[in-house]
Amino acid sequence: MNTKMKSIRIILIISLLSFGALTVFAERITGKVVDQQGIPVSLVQVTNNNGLSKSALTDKNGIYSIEGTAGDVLTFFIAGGLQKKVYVENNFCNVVINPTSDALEEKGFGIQTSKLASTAAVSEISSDKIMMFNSLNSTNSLFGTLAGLTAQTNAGGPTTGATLQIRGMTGALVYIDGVQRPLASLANDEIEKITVLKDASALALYGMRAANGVILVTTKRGTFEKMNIQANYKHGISLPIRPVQMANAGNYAVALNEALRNDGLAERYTANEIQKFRDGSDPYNYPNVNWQKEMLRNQGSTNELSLVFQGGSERMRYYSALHYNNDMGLINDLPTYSSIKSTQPSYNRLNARTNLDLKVTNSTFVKINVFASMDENNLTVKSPGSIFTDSYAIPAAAFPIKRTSDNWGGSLIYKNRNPYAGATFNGFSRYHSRNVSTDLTIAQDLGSLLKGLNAELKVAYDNDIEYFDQNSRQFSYETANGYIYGNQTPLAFSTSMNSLYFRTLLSGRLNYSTLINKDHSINANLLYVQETWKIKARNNQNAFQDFIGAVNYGYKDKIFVDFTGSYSGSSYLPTGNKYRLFPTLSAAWVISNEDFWTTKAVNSLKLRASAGILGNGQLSYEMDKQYYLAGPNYFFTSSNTSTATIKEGDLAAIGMQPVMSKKINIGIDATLFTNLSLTADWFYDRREGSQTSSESSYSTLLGITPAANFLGVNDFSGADISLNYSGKVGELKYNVGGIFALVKTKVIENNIKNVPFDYLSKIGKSRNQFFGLQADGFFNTWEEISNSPQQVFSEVRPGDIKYVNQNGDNVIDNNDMIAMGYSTQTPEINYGFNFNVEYKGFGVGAIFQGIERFSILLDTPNIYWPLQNNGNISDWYIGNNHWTATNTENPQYPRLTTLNNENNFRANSVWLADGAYLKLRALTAYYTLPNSLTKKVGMANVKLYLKGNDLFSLDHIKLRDPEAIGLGIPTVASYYMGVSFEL
Amino acid sequence: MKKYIFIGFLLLSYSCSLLEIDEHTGYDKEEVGKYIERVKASLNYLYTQLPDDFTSVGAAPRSCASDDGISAWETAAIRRMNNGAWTATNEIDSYWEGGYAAIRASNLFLESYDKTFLEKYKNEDILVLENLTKYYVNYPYEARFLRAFFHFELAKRYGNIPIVKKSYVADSVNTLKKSTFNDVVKFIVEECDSAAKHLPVSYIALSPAETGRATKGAALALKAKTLLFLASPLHNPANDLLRWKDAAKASLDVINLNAYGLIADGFVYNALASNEMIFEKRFANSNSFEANNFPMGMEGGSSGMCPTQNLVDAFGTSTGTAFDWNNPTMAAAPFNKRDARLAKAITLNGSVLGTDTIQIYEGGKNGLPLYAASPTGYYLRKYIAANVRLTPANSTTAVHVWSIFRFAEILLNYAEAMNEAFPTPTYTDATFTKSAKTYLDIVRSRAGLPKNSPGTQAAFRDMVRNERRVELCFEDHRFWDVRRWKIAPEVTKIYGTRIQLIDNKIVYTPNQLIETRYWDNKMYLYPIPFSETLKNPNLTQNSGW
Repeated sequence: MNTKMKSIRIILIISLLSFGALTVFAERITGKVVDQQGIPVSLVQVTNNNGLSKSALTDKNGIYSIEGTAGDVLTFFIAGGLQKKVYVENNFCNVVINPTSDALEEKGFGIQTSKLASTAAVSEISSDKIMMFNSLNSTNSLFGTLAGLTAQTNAGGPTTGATLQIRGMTGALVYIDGVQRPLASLANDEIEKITVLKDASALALYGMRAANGVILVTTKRGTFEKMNIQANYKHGISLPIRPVQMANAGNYAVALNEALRNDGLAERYTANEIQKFRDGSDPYNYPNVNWQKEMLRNQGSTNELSLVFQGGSERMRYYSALHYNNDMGLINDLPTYSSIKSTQPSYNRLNARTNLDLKVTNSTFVKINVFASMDENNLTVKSPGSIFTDSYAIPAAAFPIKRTSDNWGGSLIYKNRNPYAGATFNGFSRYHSRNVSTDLTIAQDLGSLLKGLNAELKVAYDNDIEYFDQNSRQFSYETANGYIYGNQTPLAFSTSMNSLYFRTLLSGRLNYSTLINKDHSINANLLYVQETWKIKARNNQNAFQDFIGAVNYGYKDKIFVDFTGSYSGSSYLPTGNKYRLFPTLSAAWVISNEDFWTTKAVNSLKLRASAGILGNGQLSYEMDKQYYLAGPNYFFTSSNTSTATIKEGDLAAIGMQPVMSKKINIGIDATLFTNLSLTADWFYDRREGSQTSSESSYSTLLGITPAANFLGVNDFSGADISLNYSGKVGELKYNVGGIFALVKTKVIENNIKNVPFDYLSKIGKSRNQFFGLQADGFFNTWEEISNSPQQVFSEVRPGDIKYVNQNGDNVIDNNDMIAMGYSTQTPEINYGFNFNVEYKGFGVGAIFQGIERFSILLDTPNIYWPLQNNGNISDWYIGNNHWTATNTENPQYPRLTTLNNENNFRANSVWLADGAYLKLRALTAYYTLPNSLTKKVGMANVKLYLKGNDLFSLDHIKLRDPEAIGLGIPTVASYYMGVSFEL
Repeated sequence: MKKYIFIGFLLLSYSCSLLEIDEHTGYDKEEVGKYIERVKASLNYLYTQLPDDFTSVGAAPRSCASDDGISAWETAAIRRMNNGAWTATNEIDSYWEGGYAAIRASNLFLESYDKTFLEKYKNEDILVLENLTKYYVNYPYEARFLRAFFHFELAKRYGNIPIVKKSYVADSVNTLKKSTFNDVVKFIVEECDSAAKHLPVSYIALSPAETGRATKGAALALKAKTLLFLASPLHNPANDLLRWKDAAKASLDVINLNAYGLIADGFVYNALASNEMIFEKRFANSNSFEANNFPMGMEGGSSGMCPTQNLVDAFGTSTGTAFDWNNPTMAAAPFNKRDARLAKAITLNGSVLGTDTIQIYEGGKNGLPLYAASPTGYYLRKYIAANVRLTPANSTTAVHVWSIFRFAEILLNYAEAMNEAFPTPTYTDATFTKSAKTYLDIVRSRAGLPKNSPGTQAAFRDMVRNERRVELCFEDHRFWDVRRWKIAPEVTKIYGTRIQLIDNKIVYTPNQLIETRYWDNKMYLYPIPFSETLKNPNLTQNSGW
């Protein structure tokens, strides 16, 4: 019995000893936290890696006190993203926080590193830059501030996003709070910072989906302070950028006659008829309809209202926000014929978010993020894009809006494309979408088991849906000679579900960090990640799975080395061959922390280098196997009975593999003269194994498309530089920054064989290099045409483009296309600069952005390519220097034609244009009322502001927005005024 | 501990299956071969690959590149076949890839055909087995006939072509060699003979009666047509009369089946059961052909292929004489007392389509200067289902059946070949018991014309060629006939008729030259796609391209 009691006591003692922390409960560590100027920093959360001590906050004087003992590691955390770990040598531990080097850098999946210890090439912007933009789609808020990320506007429309490229590649993944989610539905105001991961070191954790780069979005979180309520209201107007004036009916008729003469056809309008177009004496038979004026308004309008609750305590922090947006588009509120809705497109969105940080026990931390976005988009059935297109495309002389009979006007040429009738009569569509994103993170400090050991589990579950409801009908129209075509139908109703998204993420992480002999820090992570996406319908889901080991070694704040291995799998790869190993190695040397570094002018200098292999496993399903598929039905028997057929499907792809991207990056981070920070990187990226076709290798005698293979090799190289200078003169605070990014792409292998002429080969050229025919002026005479090589595209007449015969075969065809200009997808140079000046509450700031070495093809019908296919013509083309029978000297553009004229209207040097531009992307001016004044009414930081986006552009296009030369919904310059305050 | 191992095992097995996403809806090769319905479906696929000329180049039939038709659309791709823009890199009407894809599908079927399959069904109901057997044993012969047909379609265009009798792997196709046109014909004839031996004359007796499948008559008709091409001037420059005799004999074999006849009222197109039809391509009910070819000005119409005055003039009078615009009586009412086939093939001014009376005169509902109205003064009628309505949200459809071989063609093949093979069109002997004249007169009398075909070889040649043009117009014959007769340079001028309404009277002004087409003798054969000649050096380009 006695021995039994004894042994129980021994067990108890051993177990108590194993919870070694118990023995230090009596001891406390105290100290003071100050910034670099020696000013105390309050509200710093201090935790001890022993896993048991109750965390503490610093007080007004920066003083803290926490249980602990020498040998522990304390973590000092400031809400908003600063963290410093300090090895405790004795019971007094004073700490200096450096806002630059102690800032946290996100790597994803909960792994962060201090800026100092980072070996990665990243670009980062915070809320202040993002808030310079006012788009409903946050991809439009990244212009000109992130080196290495190129954003390009596509088209107009309230929710249309920009195309993003990281170091020359599209397809970057966006992670919002650690989960792959669409950036489009966030409100800019919810975003704390955006981090672009660029090199092998930064992307190491993303294995199979890292190759195209990753954008990390961190949303705002609570503070350790009492509740702060922020309210904001903003009203904006948007003006279309560079609308093009189309010809009036008289000018159109004259131009059409000119074109018909050029085509060797009879003129359509007599002088008398043209006069009637001009004087409006017979508006029903000789109409002059300015469709743009009839249908469009000069400006759209937007409203934004937001309410944010932010605050917390040491136990719980919260950020809770509501953002409401409304956007009314550029179409007039026309009288409708069903009295249901307005023809004005109206978009409404409500975003609600709550981000919570909870300290459940002294060692258990929980994060809960809940986000919901609901929107409603009301449109006419004839979509705004097509209303805009037709307002350009239907000539003023085509037909009146209505005939004298009150029937809709129309003609057999344009059929039922009366845009006014379409907008007002075809009915209405309503799109509803609901996006709900939730995630939960539980972090457990296991310091009680082993000092420095942590575990983290994260679960995310997102669920999006879009519904669609519409009522629609058709109208009949009357032609000039009084015949009625079409069918006026009653309203028909339909409802459908357009999209259905389901995303999940599950990750688990074990982290161990320690200091060996005080100078050697080790931070090791074991990480498991699985992500799934399910979208509507077949072969439209994917799953990725990663087993990751990552080690960061640091020596005395001087040398850091990261090694990461990711064993990563993609659902797209064939069974039994789904995983690849992606290793990366990187290092940084903080020279300025070396004892020998005495250069005063250079405050800090870090050299970085990284190398690694990363992949892109986003392929297509069913490539690795051949299936036999249903062919078109065929019919037998005397009653034409339908019978099924089966045909051979695509051959199984050979050597299916993810793209393997070998990345090298060398960079420096420096601070000069205290205020100037500089980051510069050089990179080289070779991508191997992109999907290629063998069609050019094998004769079509094979009878089926030869199997796809994965032989494509492309090189990307270039440099990213960003500079920032912030200073202060008296009460004048200012900040000036700039970015510059160069990316050169090169096709190394594309598996295109049997290229008949060397110059046709794409090897060695930029990816998406523009190819076109080289124009050699215009034909002036039939004689000149018959003495020149035959141009096979369409009948050639005087005034048509004459081409250079590149191969001497006396025929001009597609084999005479040569590389010219630059890429039509990736600008080689992307740059931006910005400033912000603040003086006694007044402030002004701007962001400029530009691209260079980029080509666009001016192929917009009706504008650059007028009249063809019964298209319209603009005042610009009528007045420009185009070929006419009397203007043969040195015309710039080809003759007018009513035909397809594939000779003129194709990729060639005439329509190739320099796509470079410099735009004022954002401009803001504001005044913050003195708090002393507003305190009396209980308000703080009352701010009145003006903002503008896309206000001007310097470019070579001039006629259109160089980023959107098409005819759909136009891009807009927008102006806002607003007020915000805090309670 | 065991519990944890179990949970760990569960997690591991879950995580392994996480990446397994398989949503395929097709069959793998074994799954196709396992069920007779799927084997049959693989054969049926070959029928979908049969060519037709409803929409050969874009929305336009190939007839728009013959002197029978012109596309109303300046922008139509087919117009580039007529203006010299046609090159080996700008093929316009390529069949190379489609033809060899159909041949591959045929070869795959033949290679996987399992003769022992029927063993599995021997315990079935005797009637089911009998019908199954009757169809199943024919399958390889249907496939071989179709494969021969695809070769014929290729050789018709490209002349010398590689014969492909098996499915190849990619590495071996770059060295395949062309066979001469003669050898291709030989191959087709052998295949047709073999198929004809096994295929039934008709499927009517079987249950279900799957009419529309290849028959003995179809195989013999293909043989006859192939031999006619071999005998024709394009491929028979020495005019070897034996070839004409072979062609005549092959046509006679079809006639002697005694399975076909001429429909009394004339050829009924789009009919599913017709005594005149030997082989056809079937379609689901549709209205796209009407949308393409209804006159502009009709609801949903877009003019499409407009017949030329050249063709209209080829239709004689109802008494069998030639039509003449210089005859004032005829010119005043040009469509009165004409060959009855004219109004069935061509929509004339005043014709009725469905409920619309077509006004092609200038200023009329369907006439110039209306946009894309017929430049010739005529619209298409043959193959158009006139009752189809194209009213938006209220449109109707109709069945369409493309005639590949019909009995009238066989009679005309025979008449042409006999006339060339022997000195007079009335020649008969022990083998050829009926003369060229006899069968030509049968075709003409069906159209209500008197039996007055001429007696000299040259005059008869003109008449049989004209008869062929008229009887078979818009059935994709003329384009090939002008090539095999080598008369293409003579038919480059395209005429239309100006129609005006003057003082409430319709006035016709004929012989309006619409275009003079580009011709180069290289165009007797199609160019082999330029890229093909690079990939396989044995595929030498046809001369002139």
